[in-house]
Amino acid sequence: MSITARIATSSAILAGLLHCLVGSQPLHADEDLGGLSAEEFSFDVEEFEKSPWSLDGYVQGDSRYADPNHGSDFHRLASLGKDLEDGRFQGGLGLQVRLTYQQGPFEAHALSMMTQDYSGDDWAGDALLYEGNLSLQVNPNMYFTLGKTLLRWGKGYAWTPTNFVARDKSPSDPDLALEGYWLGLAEFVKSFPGPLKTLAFTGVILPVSDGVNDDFGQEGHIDVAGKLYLLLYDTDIDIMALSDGSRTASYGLTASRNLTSNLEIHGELALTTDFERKVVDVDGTVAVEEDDAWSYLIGLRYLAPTDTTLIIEYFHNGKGYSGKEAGSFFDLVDREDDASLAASRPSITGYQRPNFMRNYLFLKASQKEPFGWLYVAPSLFIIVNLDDGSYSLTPEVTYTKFDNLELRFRLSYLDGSDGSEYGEKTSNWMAEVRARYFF
Amino acid sequence: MMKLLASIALAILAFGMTPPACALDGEKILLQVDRNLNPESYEMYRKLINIEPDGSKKEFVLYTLKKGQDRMVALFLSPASEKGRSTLRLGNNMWLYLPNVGKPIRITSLQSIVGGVFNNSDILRLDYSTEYTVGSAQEIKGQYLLKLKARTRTVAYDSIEMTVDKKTVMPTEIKCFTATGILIKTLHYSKTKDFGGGIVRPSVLETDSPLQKGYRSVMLFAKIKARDLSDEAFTLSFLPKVDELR
Repeated sequence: MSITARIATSSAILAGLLHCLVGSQPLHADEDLGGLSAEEFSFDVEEFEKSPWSLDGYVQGDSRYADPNHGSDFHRLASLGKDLEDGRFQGGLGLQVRLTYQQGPFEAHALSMMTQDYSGDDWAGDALLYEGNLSLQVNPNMYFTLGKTLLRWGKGYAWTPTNFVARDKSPSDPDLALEGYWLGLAEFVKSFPGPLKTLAFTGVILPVSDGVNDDFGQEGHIDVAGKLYLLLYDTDIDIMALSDGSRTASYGLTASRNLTSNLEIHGELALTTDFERKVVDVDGTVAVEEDDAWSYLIGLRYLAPTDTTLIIEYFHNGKGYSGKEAGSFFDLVDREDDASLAASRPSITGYQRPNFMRNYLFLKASQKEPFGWLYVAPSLFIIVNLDDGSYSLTPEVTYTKFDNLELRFRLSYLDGSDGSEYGEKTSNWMAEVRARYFF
Repeated sequence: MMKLLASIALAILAFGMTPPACALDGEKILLQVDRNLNPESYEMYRKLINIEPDGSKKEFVLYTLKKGQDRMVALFLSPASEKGRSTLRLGNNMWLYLPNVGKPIRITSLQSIVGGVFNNSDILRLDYSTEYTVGSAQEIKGQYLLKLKARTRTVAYDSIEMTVDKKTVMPTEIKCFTATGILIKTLHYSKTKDFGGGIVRPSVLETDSPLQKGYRSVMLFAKIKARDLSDEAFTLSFLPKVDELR
């Protein structure tokens, strides 16, 4: 059976399964609402007595298929020195475990992810400690944390340009847990009556050396970062800064507030001073440019009367490449032979980051249980590169009928002209089925 | 004779201009409703049950803390897929913290973090008198009928009609309306129970909505008790650590 036929068969089975699961449960619009008896329900609150130990997490299995975009520039770069198959089934198993011990003001916390991934013919295992830290709550106003910790600064959903002390999240899966950094943190918080309701200050020390946070930036520095948070006139305001060290100094400002009972607005502004970019020229030479990079984001979250949630964000990536600079990069990949490209690789890593250009739009619409399909939550999101008009369109369906089990089916379609970001990606489209069981 | 008629006319006029001694003080009744439902600062456990049109149920257990007029926080204890989520309300500001995401995100009152008929405003309900002013108060057949109006545009319901049992000064039914007068949902309080510490109040809250036909949600209350808490327990900094207060 060909790959296409296999996909078609799988899709038909999945569609049939979904129909059986949801199609057989029509909405009983005329059902009598009266007669509910509270005696039907019980609540044994003693089941939820607190224990100092807490263990939770999930186990998941997923299967993915990517249809290769033969001849595209990113496919060519990914193929250098490898023999990529025509179409690739990938998948794997994952186990995320969160363990917490709390006694009085002390808390020990660990979050780890173990994976066993299948790619082509190979299985590869990995285990990573995402977080592992000790905390001390000195009093209601002050606490300290020491160890591997994930900090997430910023208000954006798909992008957070002010997230100075964390790894970048993926706009297509922004809720995924990420690996933190080894750091020391102190936080002071104080509440007030009046328009300023809360003031909090977070101070962070992050060492970078061989084997410790060495992917954060240049080794041999102890970086210092700080964030001042204010809840002022019902608006969240963050002012943050990262000292000059492993990375160049950065400054940020974020704000968010609810405008009405169903509309929220948020924004971010970030300045990275003396940001270094390796830029490919039209003749293929690579120049290092250093300049201040201003990035900003503005977004809305709106709940429509139809129970549809809309998230829209515009992102200007000051660290990204212009259309002309991206064009020179794609010309280089088209023009050079494999050996030259392999040699140029260290100079062009900046072009291979997700959303490496300047201006993007993110739009997500999600609907709870449409057409009376119980436990079904479809959503659709699109990421548009506004510089070249290319885009990635992802419809997704999650199904949550069974307690603690989440099933997700996702299809991503990427499109754009030659020499555009999504037009030159490694795949034309991707399909993914994921089952996640929480414990 | 003319003097007598003039005296009668003056007496009628004076009576008409003076409020009757039995006029209802709606604001006072509403404040009493709030205090009868819970102390100003307290902790409690709740079970939320969403009943789907096919009869199947989804259950959530929350640990909740409230302080003063406008501070409330709730932590999900169950099911496993939601465990560790917490949600904070400060006045009309609301946030949701997801352990995996690792940062609080701002949410609005009409969204629902649990699905079903209860929205965020129902789950993180402040005192009614904090969010609403009394437009009118009537007494009908041993019950008070209070018509309330939202104080700001960020309050979930533009207006509500609250039926209050006169004897216990507890709400029995609350109808919630949009600004255009459309009924969004009806809340029914029932099963009055003694929680100890002088707290005697309904232990069950049921709701249904003409906008979500076939769906119903129920909230069961347990272990409500007065508790003194610091203001800082109701901040974004504390949101990931609510469990430490149990």
